Amino acid sequence: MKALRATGSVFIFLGLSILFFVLYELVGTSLVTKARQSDLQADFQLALESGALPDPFTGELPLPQASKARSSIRGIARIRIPKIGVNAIVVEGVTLERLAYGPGHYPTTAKFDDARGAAGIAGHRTGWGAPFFNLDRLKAGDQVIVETSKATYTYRMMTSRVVSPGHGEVLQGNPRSRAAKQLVLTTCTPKFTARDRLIIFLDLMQEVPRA
Amino acid sequence: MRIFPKKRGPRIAIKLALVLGYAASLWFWVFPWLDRTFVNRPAL
Repeated sequence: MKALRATGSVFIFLGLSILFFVLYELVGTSLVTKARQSDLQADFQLALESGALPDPFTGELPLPQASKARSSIRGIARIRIPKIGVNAIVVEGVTLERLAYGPGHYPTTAKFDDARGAAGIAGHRTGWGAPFFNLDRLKAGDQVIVETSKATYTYRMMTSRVVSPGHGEVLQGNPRSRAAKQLVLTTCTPKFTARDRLIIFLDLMQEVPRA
Repeated sequence: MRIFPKKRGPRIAIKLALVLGYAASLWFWVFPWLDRTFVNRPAL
């Protein structure tokens, strides 16, 4: 009887620990990212309005004097995906530490303001704000808007692929596209796992320089 | 064999410390490891 009671207690304990993990993954991490994104959004807007120039190497905009940010990490662009309600500041780098701030630009890919090439952005799909949670809902023709200190770029989705991790060649862009400037979005798939990667290829449709 | 003290106050304090320590170790070590190993690795 005593052993049965002890076993029951262990299972209740494990069950509560699993519930605690779900709480951490879905709520805890997102609260952290939400606070960081709030700082990044405010600073990005201030930097844009002040006409500050980005760092030539990282593309990061300088921290405004009025900044209340608690971190030195700064945004390089704002990504908006109207179809799935995304409005987030993109940071430079795709380490897990960086992605805990928001979507991250792959440093090995073209910068948004480059004349040619494919720029890549990675984003979380579970936890940490999950900016790309509904990325699979994008269909051909849907728009993605990227705003930098130099211009606003409007991309149109062309196609998507699912690849296993390690297929870095997809960051070179859509091989069937002739567009000089492309955007590649990557995230985990299926949802709640890190098994494969969902890749979204987009072509630049419009570029509007900032006045 | 008695694991916890007989007095109510110290017994509750030790149990609370154990639960909080367990929760903290999950939150700061175990869960981040589970997250980056099994749930989230969106970069290629």
